[in-house]
Amino acid sequence: MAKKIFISPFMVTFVATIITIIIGLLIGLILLLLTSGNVALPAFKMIVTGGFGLTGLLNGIGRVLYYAVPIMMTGLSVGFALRTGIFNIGAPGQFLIGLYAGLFVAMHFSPQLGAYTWVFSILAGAACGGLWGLLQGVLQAYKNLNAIVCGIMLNYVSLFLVNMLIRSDHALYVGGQGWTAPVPSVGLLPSFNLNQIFTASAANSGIVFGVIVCVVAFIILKKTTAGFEMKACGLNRDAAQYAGVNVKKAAILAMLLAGIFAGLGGTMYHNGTMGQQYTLTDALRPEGFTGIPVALLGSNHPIAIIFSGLFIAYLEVGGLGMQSLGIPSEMVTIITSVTIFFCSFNLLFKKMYIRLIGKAFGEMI
Amino acid sequence: MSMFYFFVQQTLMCMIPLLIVANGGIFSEKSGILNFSLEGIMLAGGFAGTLYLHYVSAGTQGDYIVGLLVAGVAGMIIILPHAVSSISLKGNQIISGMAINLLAPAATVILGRAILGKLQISFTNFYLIKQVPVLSNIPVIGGMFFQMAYISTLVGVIVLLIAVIVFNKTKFGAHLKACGENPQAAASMGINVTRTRYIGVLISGFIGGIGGLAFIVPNASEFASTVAGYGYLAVAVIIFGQWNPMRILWASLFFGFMKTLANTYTTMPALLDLGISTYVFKMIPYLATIIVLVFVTKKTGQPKALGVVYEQDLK
Amino acid sequence: MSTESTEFSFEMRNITKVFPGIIANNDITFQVRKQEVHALLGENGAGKSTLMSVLFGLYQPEHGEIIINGEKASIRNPNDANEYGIGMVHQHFKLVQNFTALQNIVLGVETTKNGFLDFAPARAKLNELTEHYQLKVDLDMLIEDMTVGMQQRVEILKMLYRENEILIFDEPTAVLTPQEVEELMKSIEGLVAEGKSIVFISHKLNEIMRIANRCTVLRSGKVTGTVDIKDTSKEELSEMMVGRKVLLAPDKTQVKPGEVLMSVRDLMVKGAKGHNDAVRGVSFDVRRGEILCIAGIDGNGQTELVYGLTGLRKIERGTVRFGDDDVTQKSIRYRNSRHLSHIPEDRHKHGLVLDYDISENMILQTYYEKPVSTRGIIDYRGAYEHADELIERYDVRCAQGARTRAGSLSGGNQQKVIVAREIERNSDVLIAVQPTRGMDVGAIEFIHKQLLRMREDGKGILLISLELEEVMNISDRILVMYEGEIVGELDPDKTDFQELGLYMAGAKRTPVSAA
Repeated sequence: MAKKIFISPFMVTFVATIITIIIGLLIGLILLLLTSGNVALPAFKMIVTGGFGLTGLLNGIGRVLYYAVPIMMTGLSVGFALRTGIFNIGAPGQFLIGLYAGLFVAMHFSPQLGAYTWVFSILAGAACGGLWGLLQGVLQAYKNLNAIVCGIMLNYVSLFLVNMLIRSDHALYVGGQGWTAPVPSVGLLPSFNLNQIFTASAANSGIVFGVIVCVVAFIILKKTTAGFEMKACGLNRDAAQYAGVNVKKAAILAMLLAGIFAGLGGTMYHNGTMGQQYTLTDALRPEGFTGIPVALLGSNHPIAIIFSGLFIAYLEVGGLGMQSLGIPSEMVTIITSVTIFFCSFNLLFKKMYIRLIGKAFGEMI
Repeated sequence: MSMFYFFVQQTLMCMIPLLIVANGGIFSEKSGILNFSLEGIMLAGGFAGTLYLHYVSAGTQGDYIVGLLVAGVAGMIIILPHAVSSISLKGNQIISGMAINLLAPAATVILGRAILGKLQISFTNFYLIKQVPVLSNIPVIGGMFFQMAYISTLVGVIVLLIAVIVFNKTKFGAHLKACGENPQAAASMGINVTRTRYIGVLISGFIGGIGGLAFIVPNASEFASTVAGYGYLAVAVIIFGQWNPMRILWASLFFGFMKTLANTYTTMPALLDLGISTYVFKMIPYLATIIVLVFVTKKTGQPKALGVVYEQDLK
Repeated sequence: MSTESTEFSFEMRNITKVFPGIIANNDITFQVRKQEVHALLGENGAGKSTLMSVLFGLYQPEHGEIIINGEKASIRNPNDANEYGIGMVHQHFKLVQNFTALQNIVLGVETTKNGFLDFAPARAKLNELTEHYQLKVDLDMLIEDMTVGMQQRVEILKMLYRENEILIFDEPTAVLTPQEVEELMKSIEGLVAEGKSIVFISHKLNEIMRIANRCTVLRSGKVTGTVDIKDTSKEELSEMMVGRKVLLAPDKTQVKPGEVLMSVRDLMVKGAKGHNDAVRGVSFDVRRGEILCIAGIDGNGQTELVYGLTGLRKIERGTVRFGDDDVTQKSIRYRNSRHLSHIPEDRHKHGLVLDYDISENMILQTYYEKPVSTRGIIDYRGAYEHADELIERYDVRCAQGARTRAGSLSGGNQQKVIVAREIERNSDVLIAVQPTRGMDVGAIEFIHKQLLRMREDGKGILLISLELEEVMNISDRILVMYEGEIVGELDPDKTDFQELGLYMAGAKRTPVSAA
């Protein structure tokens, strides 16, 4: 019986993921030792303790909760699409469109919407992100565009489109400065007092909504007929078609949902806390791309993505803390990318683990 | 006329890195291994190459060529883990390729800081050739290709020729293609699929690394851990070019042309007077690619076993 | 030198190969004489493939040794096997589809001049070989444009070009017409006359009786015997293979066909690449209580016909009706849910989602309707119970009941899952495409019994089969398909393999009226 628990799919995946994380951390440590000499150990400690030592435990947790929201959403976007067989590299674009839509509503309609502005901002972000994902889905399904090429191209299109729209909009754009005006307070997500509980952090209700969205995504995949269809398409498109599933519609629905998740991420990030200002550059925001490691680390499972999002946010907070020691926060990216790299042959770790468990129990009996 | 030459020269600067990197990429993909990590390879090449140029002071064309080779070696080094994961460990090729893309920019920052103590690697650009002796005097052609040119243009032509010849005329090319189309068949004929694929992936790392430096030198004054998404564009160019070296030439020309239009429209009064937002021009290359792909024929040249884990069997 | 004295071309002595949980080869001794055709007979899973994998160095055996020309050989990979002159024509050809015959044949041993490919010497040698062995092959044709027969000749040329002396044919006749089979037999005789030794792997007793000198039979990883063909009979061989007496033909009751259930008129469907018509003006009816069989060589439009009937591919012209219901333009789902069950040709491609468990595969078409789901929410508990019941009734062997991943089942049990699902949907018409392919004798009997039961229950069955024995044994009517057209209608009781073969090869045709 105990053996059964140890080799359940969940346990096996969990252990394999932990192994990859440990390897990632170890390689990070080695790199630190090679490049940073005497601050290497304190810096490493900073990463594994999330830099909580600097600002106190509660504030540290609050910061993690804050950073986790956007990457949890883009992670969900990427992971959900991957479950249906689509590599949604377009998440950064959907994120940006969502960010813009939320900003637009908050800046233009706050007088009319009053205290509900933030609700409509979120809805607008979800809707527009979803539409952008839908556009990509239609191009892929009906015009046979390669998902990767299509996603990359639409990312750039969305970047310049958003920049253009902001630039030409005097309510949004602070002339000469190159960034947007701050979101009015009615446009901000309620804090649920999280910023006070987690002393002086930017934590807000976004994390609560984020978790809810992940749970909803989980239920869609696990319980609904639409989820059954989308998963079938992801696992075996031909069989889904044979079974009478409209595979094009399922793929488009998946992209719509993925777009909604990423779009929500964009709005909840930008309307999350006081004083956010979007800077107009020719580069995409990194949150969309971070969604990829979040999804992969969470094995594309919506509930696991909650935790992988929190984990990567935790590393990022540690990475920011590390800067106080003069070490670039890119060290965290190295650790995550090495972890992701080892995820690519996760199967190997799983097999090793199962064999190990088999041996352990075999000898005991 | 000088406007025209300027436009051609600018187009070359945009398209040559794409031509090089995409043609490098197919050495991996035609052997059956997805190469999604061209961005990471370019970054590694750009980093190592500029670092080399930073240290050499003479600044001759010879230095640039050595720099390109250094860049190529760096590309091979960074692609090696992807090769091990995809070929020996039968891992997921998209994931390990993506990991390389995530790793590369961060690694260049950390290494740059460890070596030079700063984040940007500067170099003095001695490498622009204002006039190629004799050739630059040829009417029209001279102005297009042999004035204000970089040696990387020649490298691009060489890479293209190598790709065309290797895939169509050599034993190695035939083996590479067989591994990408039907690795079981290749193996049954005594071809070492593992070794062939390693060589293919490493060549793509080498050429991609060269492409990284060939992008940095004409287009930037320092290396700041970015190649502006050109590696991702090269992936698109491969698909657009249907894994065929000559078609890849046209695809990169198309993209280079669009990109140049976006970069240089301010110098063209006719376009400037339209009063269109600068962002529209920046959007054009990407939008145009989508539109072309929507209308372009659906026939693709994708290798049949691309991205498929190879298992030996007898059936 | 002992090579002169030995009578054997090669020997595999006391080979034992163990996989986790199964002994694939158990002390197998297999000896092939010089210039003989030695048949290797056994059901799926009897250990034939494993034995050949050992011979080619893909597996290293736990025990045993391989002796070639009287000397102990060490074979660690297929290259070593090639060095020893061993070549194989695989059941699924190992050809690169977008290479020419020539490119495929020289692959791995290309000749070069100044570093560039030079095909001239190879071409000269191959012209000689094709001449000598009477193997008609267009060297510059792409494999994807070739008939299966020609592809097989390319495979044979590959071995001859490498000057292999031991030639192994793995189920070589599965895809050929009787006439092509005869041609192959002649080629094999010619090869033996030139001094080659042949291993002929097959489960077709007729062919073994026709071509082989001796036969080694495997069952459950063990040798049940090696016999001289002239001293044995088909019955004896099949008993050695299965371990019990086998009914060569199933019992069939008389059922009088009823009204027309499905009627197809002038059907036109395009081929895979979309530039040719794979099905050209096909018309027929399927009646209540009959098994109508479409016979033909693989690749003559049967796949596309089924795609057209089931809705997997668009119909270009013509109509498909179920009673009064014209479904020509209707979706897969529409046809599935009202009229049609479909056992697909490729169970891994279409039939199953391998990463879904059995219960999820059982609801693959019905997940969206009551009682499986209500208002978009699937009742998985109900699905599990339903699946468990079917697992019991159809005797699906699985480790964790309804929660067993389909991918972890054996091929036979996967097919049982599909058969159970399609029969239980209780449609009027069942399209069964090669339902017994790759099954062992027990599973074949089981599936045939199910099809016959449906027929007795008044369903209409369209059987697409490449196995002539199956065609003759269980169908009520035979239509032969050749190059996308129906070229003849035959009565299984009044025809024979020879006549069927002539139709299948396009050598004979008679007009067929639809009704």
